[in-house]
Amino acid sequence: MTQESLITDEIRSWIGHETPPWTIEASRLDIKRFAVATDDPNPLYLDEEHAKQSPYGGLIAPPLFYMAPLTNPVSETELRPDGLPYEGKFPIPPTPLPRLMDGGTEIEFFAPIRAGDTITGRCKITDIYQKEGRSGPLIFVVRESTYTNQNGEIVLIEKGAAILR
Amino acid sequence: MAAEQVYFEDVEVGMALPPLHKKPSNTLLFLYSAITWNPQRIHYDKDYTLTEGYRDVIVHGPLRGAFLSQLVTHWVGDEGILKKLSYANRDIAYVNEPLTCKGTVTRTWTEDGKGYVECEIWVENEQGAKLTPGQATVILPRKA
Repeated sequence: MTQESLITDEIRSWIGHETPPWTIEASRLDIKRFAVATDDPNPLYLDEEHAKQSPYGGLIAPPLFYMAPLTNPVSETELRPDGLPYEGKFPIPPTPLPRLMDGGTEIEFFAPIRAGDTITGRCKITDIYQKEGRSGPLIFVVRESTYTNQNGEIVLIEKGAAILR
Repeated sequence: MAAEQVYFEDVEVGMALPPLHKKPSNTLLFLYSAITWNPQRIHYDKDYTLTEGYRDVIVHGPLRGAFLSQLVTHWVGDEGILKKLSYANRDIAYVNEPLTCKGTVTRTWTEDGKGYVECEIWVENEQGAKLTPGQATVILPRKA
């Protein structure tokens, strides 16, 4: 690669950076709300009797329910003009590239989230690298989030990337 | 959920998953913003969204991810397990745009007595453009 690296030591030092853990209460009501808001009629999330007869033995949450609290609730005065909080849930180091794109999501599931569970999420930056895109340099910020239930059991691991351009 | 439970032995490479049709309305986008506590204006404020160069409010990327997860969980039924899901939102979808989630079986294998199936999955628009390509790995029950 002949291009100049935009990744300074300061940006590189963000690798390994961890966010404070956050928790999600998987209440029956929020599971139902999430299922309705994603147009998902699966009775495993909605019908207690059906769920009891299933291999799960009770209500579970849809696979992507863990995404429910996408942002931390902050007051309106702390939101940017586009409506997003100044500080997102996932850490992004300051770079000279202004635009942020979703670089995809990869999830491995280990156990279902059950109604009544308390899920704890933790996120860490695992890599930062640069690539040459069609319109100029791109910086990839790769993160790994681990979600555990109240028994300390890992329910899922999500790998994702933010692309700055 | 699925009319009939699908078993590992029923599945072959090249098989198509039953497609899932969606047409996310303004109301659905609002509900999804609400449950995910997402105040980003491009998902509900059309006047604002036009200033970002879009022609209407746009469908949340993770909502398309949820549709893809549904395509797979619907197919595998109560006894199948979604083990891995990946997707990337390559292009935007506008509110009220008809979207179809589709999938094809790409690989089947057994491991520790369990039947694994890998699928290519995607969300496409009416023009047939793959807006959200992805992959899923599921574990299906085996016939005794």
